[in-house]
Amino acid sequence: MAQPSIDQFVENLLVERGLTGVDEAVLAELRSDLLTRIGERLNAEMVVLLDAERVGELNDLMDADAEVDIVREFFMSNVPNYQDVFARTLMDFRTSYLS
Amino acid sequence: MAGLHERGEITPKRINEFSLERIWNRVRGYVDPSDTPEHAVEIQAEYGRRLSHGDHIEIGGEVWRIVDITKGADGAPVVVSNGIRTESIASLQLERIEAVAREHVTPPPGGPTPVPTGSGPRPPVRPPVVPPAGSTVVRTAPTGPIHRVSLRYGAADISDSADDAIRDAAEIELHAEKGAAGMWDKFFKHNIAYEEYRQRGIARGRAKVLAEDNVYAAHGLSRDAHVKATDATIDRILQDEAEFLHSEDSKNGKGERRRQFGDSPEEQAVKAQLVDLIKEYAANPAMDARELKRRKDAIFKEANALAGEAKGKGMMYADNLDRLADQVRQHAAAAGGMENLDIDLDIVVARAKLGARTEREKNLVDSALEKLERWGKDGGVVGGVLAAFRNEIAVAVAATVGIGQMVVRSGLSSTVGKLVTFGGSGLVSGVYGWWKEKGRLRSEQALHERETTMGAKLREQESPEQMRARLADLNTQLGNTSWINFSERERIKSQILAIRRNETDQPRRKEMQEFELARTSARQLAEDALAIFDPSERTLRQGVRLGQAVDVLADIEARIRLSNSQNVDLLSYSNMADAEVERRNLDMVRMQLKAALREMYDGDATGAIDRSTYATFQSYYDNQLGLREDALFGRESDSRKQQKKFADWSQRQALKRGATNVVIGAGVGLVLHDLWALASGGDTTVGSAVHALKEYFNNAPTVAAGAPVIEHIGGSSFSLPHDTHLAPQADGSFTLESIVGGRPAIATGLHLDSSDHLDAASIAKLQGMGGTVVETTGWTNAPGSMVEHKEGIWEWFKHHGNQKIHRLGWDDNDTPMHFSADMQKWLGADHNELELEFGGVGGTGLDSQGNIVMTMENMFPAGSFHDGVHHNAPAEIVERKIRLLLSMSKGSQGTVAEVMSNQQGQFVIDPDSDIAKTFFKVENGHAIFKGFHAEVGLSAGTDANHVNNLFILATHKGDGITSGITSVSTGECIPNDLTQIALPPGSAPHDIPVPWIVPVRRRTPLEPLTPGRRSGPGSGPGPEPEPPVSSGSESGTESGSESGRESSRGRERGAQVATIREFADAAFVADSQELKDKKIGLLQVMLQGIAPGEQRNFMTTLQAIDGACKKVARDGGTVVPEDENILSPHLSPLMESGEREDVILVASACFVENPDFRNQDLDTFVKAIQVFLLNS
Repeated sequence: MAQPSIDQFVENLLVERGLTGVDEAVLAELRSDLLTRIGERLNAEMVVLLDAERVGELNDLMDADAEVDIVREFFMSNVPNYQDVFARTLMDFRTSYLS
Repeated sequence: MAGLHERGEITPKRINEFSLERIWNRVRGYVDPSDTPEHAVEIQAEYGRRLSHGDHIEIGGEVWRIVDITKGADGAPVVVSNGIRTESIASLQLERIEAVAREHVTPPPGGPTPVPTGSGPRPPVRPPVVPPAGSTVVRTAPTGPIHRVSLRYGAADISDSADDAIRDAAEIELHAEKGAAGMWDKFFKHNIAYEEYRQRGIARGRAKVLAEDNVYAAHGLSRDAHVKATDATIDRILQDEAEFLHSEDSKNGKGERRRQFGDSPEEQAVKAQLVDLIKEYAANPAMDARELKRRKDAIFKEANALAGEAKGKGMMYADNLDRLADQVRQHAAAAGGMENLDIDLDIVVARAKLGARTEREKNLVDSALEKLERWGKDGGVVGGVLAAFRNEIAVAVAATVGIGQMVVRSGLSSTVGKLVTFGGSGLVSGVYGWWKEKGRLRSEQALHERETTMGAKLREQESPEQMRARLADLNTQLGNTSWINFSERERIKSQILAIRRNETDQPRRKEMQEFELARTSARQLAEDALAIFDPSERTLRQGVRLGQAVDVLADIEARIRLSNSQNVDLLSYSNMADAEVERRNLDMVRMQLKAALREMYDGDATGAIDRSTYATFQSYYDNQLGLREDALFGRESDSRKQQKKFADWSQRQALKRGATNVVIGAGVGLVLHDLWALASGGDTTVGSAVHALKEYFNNAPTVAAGAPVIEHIGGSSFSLPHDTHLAPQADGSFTLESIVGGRPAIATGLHLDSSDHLDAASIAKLQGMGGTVVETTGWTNAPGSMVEHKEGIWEWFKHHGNQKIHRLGWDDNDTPMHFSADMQKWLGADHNELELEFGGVGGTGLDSQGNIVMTMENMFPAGSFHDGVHHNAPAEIVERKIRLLLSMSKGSQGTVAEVMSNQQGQFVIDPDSDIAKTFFKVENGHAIFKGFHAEVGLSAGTDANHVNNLFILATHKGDGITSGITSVSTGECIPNDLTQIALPPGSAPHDIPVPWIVPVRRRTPLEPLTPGRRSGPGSGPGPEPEPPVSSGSESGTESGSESGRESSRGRERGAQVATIREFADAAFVADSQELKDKKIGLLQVMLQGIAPGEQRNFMTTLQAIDGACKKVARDGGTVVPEDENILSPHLSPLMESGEREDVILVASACFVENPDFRNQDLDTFVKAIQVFLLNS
């Protein structure tokens, strides 16, 4: 079974919004925009759940251009139920996008 | 206070009346230092009092400080400084008059004839050389005596303040839409989608601020406000006195810093570039604005890089290049050309702070967000969290898609494997709700503090008449707004709705008001200081004791210092546009008062001051300042109590929201259960829905994260993903399937070859799913070949392969272990060094299959360091550099048996292996380490002698193996290959939980506030604030955005419409109705800037102008000096008090009445106003 991906999520959103007969170039723009917005939303939702001290640490990690694993570890350690945040954020996004 | 020009003695129009020679004569008479006593008298008369050192006067719109004055007969003129250059007051006046003259009088061929002034011959005045646009300065030979000009360039990085202003504006904008929000937006815009909308607002605001080069653009304020604020800031940083620099370091940020450039080659290079640019700009004021900015930016970038600790982010800066260019222009004119100027430029670069000091809760968050969005981008692909959590987000996608299909709106998905009950789901929902609400409340309170610090106020309760007037006005606006202007129409409608709903109660703001810190107006403080202190005499006013004055000074300084250092606001300002001017003025008063008090205290020779306790002013003042700071922000201060009160309240509020979430979350879950059961015709007992939902989700491909599973097939072993199994099928193939849920298949049709390895097609199939297949070759004892015997340590290692190691160091977190004789135990370990533990079931060291398990999975990234060297243990697990080092005895600890960890940081040892038998034993269901040390080592690599060099991260001690020689196995070995199959999480089924329910509840945003009103003359330049303006005579608010102004001004404007129409009907009599309406509309917009208290003044002015214009019309449309004199008494006070809106209106009135413009179209009308303003 194919692995679901964020791209699939975006595709579903476009379909659910009824944007299927749109020119491919426009669709590409829509996809890109949605992906960016989802990314920003996920970032925001994760970061606002950090306490002030951890936010400072994240700033340091970003300044040091930390490796993916370090950043992952950081969020996993400091955001309780981070997987829930992902699901909830995507659900929120879907709801507001389709509303 | 006004200079010649400002007083109307010399005006552009009047200059036309005089010949150049007459002007020169007038100037000569005014500034001739040969008649010093008269000169001094004249200066004194002009400024209405005796001037002295330290006084500030305004000349040509600039503030100058008197640095020297001699009232004797020696003829020395008054010397003033604006922080950039030092000049005699006389020459300054002369410069300005010369400049005015040149602008309005065409000099005769060869230039005007200079008139001796008594201070030496002046060179002939020539118009400045104007090179073509875009050209660079061409250095030409001097044509006259060289004039040396000392200038001071100041540039302040204000990036942080711009960021704060942008973010404030984005949040205020969201709150301002409250009326229009409606129920739907309270669910979305102000709740679940809040961050998205906020981030969009920030992006819009930033684009606007940068495009307009206006730090307040996002707040809708004009660039005049920006210039006013940044000019005041530059004034501050150019002053040498410490009081002008707010250098106190804040808790989370940095205080202001400044740096004066020296003589290094790099700094000299920047100076040279700046001088060239200033000259070029001075010579060509019409220089292309973009080109000017481009070159300024490039120079600032270099200067900022050299600024050391004063370096800013470089996003936005303010400087005084425009002002310097003006001065250079005047100097060049006086010197006979740019080529005769020798500019000596001082450069001061600073990192400055504007605006409120209350720390934005989101400051660091926003900074982190921006970086996070840039981080991890690979070739334009989205970065940040999406990049770091691709797989987990894929899991969330799967769950979300499922949820989206079955739960309507209020349902939220979850992948919390641990939560399988609705009660648990409700709990998670509650914790989340509490957490989120607490953050939002903190953020809102900070915004409220910042807004009210800048003069914003709760809207006053309106009378029914006022509300009706406002409604009528809004309805008129709605009628006049084009239908296509949706956003404007929606905004107006929202305001109408808010009035109809009587939304004047502002409950959210009143909540926040309860926690405001007690603030004092900066303007009021300055006035208080001036009430006891006479800066011109540098003495205390009659009856004021020195102790009183010190207390006033200490209060001012304590509030400034605490605001800067504690990220709070203990000062308030009239409004955003005037804040920086008021801040500078307060600094000025502070500096003057402190200097005077110091002189009085330390210089007292009369013995009137008792110095027995405090020998110097500084020691006395330090004590008083400390007391005041303690009173204002000490542990028992009201401010701290307010902060505590807010913390308690916000905690209660957040908990309340969280608790409600728990109840609703669980409740909705149960309802959902019933609905589900009814709809599916299934079991309606509690728990059945859980099962049904789990089944539903388990069919979706999701995650398989966890320890791998080892299975043996034939002569091969397979390492499989967590919770999976290779199931043999009837046709001889194998299916990789999940062992949870309905045991769904992950990959079917897998085949083993004759050597029990996966065949190529099967490997390809798994790889096609994103998996990896790694085959390794190993050996194992053949069944029945085991022979046990005893041997020594070295023999054991010889038979089992040994690893010599070298310990590079111990990551003891700088707290080395030491044995406490008193406590009879080892002390010192605190972090990761304690985290090598027995794992398995319940920490017994044994998993369900009897394997020995030691684990380091609880180690955290920052828990291993020594002497500045840090190792990230979890990361190193992934890198496979971690080893479990098992040593037998102290004497043999340089040789160990190594065990690799799996990806979860576990060391899993087969209980039948020699290592397990040698180093461990099992007693009472617990594994026990028998060896000397079990250590977690981080390999730094093996050297040429095959010695593994390691850092030791953790140590578990055992008794050591001293006498017993373990049993070992020798015998026939057979191949034992291991095939490791790994699939990315998300590709294998997983034990998916049911969704937990988070109720999406509406959230009421803060109500919009009324922006602060402009404070009037007191905020203007100069150290002496005017008496406070009573509420009845407050001036209008800063010209700003429509949205910012509407709510506060609609009422006043509504009351004005009829009057304006009457005026317009008379004044625009020749215009068509359409044009007249447009002009009325324009006047209405201008009127928005005028507060109720000023209307009478405005109408008086308007009537006077009206009369004057009519008189002008009667006289044939010629403006004669007498007419100007009729206008000037009304215009001048407005100009001097800075009431720009009044001037605009008066100007427009003049021009619409003027026959030359009366019948013109709207563009000409507007242009006329602009021309008038430029000339003003």
